[in-house]
Amino acid sequence: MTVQNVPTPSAPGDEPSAIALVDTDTHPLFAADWATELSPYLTAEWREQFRVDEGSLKSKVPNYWPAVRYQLPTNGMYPRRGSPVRMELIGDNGEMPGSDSRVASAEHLDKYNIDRAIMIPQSVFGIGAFPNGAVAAAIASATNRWMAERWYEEDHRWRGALAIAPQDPESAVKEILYWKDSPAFAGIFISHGATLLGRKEFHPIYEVAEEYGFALTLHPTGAEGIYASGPSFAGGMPEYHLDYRFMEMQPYQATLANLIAAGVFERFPRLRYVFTEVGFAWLVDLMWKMDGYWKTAREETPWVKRAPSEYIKSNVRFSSQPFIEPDKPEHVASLLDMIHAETTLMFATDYPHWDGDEPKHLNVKPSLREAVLAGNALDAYPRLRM
Amino acid sequence: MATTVNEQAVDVGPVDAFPEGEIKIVSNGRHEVGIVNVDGDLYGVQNVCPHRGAPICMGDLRGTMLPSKPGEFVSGLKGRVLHCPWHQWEFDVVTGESLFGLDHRRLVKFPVQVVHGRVLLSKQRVQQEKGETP
Repeated sequence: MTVQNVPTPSAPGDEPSAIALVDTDTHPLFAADWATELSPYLTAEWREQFRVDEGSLKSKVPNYWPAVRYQLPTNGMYPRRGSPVRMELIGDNGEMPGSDSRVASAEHLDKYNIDRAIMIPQSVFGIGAFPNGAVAAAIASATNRWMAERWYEEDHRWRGALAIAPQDPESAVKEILYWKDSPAFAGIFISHGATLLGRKEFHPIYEVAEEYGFALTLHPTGAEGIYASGPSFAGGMPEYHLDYRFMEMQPYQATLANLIAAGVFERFPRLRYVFTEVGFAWLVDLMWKMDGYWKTAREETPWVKRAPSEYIKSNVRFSSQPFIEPDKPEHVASLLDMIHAETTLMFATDYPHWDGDEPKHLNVKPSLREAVLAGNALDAYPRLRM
Repeated sequence: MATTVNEQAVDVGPVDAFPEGEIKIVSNGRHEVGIVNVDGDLYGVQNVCPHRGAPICMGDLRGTMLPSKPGEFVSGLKGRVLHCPWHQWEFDVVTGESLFGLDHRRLVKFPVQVVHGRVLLSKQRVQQEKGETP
């Protein structure tokens, strides 16, 4: 993929040849609640709207009026007993791992020799399911300033997936254009709402993403199935955490099928779509099934000119974490062969989460390592070379 | 009823028995073959889909949607696309190929000649090309 209109590398040690390990899924976390954390990055009007500086209610009865401030969509219905972050990384005074870039650089990037890490802003995961697009856009914009100043500016190895409000494509395009020359952002985090992402309303976002070399980055948001404004689960609501975790990938499988059927990669052939932390073993079934049905039902969508699996190979990438652990480890190699991991799979740790992988957990044959550890990520996120 | 003309071909009837846009299934003594009239030209197609062996000549003969830009429709290849009745695979009767690279398999075809108003169907298939099912 050729990147146009992007500046040349500026930071020492950032030359492309130095990028040997890319972590495609990390999560910078807000140390405080979102409004407090984002306060310096909001306009005065939005600070007022968000009641950021109003202490009166809170000082009278702390935490008694949670509904006077916007709550970002999140998953409070399928809790798992156990820490969401790696407990050994929690600071002596209870500091959350992933909430301070200097600590994170030392305990993660330095420790594993990671040259680039894609930040997917977990603290605003659910903004795509927020009903008010203007609110989502304001929070997204402030989050991007926070990521750029508190993470990228501290250490150029941290590169962001730009938060946008997909329910307000016009504002999303403005946000992307604002950052188009900045190396701080390599991707665009598109928080999935209730609408599959192949539909035309999202195409203006794809147009600018393609022009400036941003990959579209998906990640589960916690809003799946829980909010009418978020993506739905098939069949009904999961009942427990266990079935919820299994179903979490469903909207992303559906949106991938829709992207292909809608011809998004015909319309935007240089666009890259990244599916983070939604698995990859299921791709075998999706690719074979879609290819099979394409041969039988091509006429309704004649713009799907290539077998669906071909678009996946050329335009779609998947993060490796949580890496598969079949009963017979030798099955991994067959599976990776079937999903064309040489072009589709990218290494990820999911730092600082409890279920993360280290590079040593990547059970891939030596001939795949370079592509999975860095090559495929650099293809998906060419702005990492900036 | 087909009549053997010589060792190479059978007479399957008068040319006006094979109207344009239709498929008539006959035998060359060895195989069931659909005689397909595309714009006045006759083609012999073995009544076996190279995909799963379905009687493809009992499927639809019509055109199809050509590859197009997203959101646009362009119809074409009118009357020369055979749509298999089983899995709707599409083959171009004229070339024998599956359309638009859908698959590498091809129709098995038998040469057809019109001599003195009679349709002569070869017993020997068109020379096998790469990708054909034997």
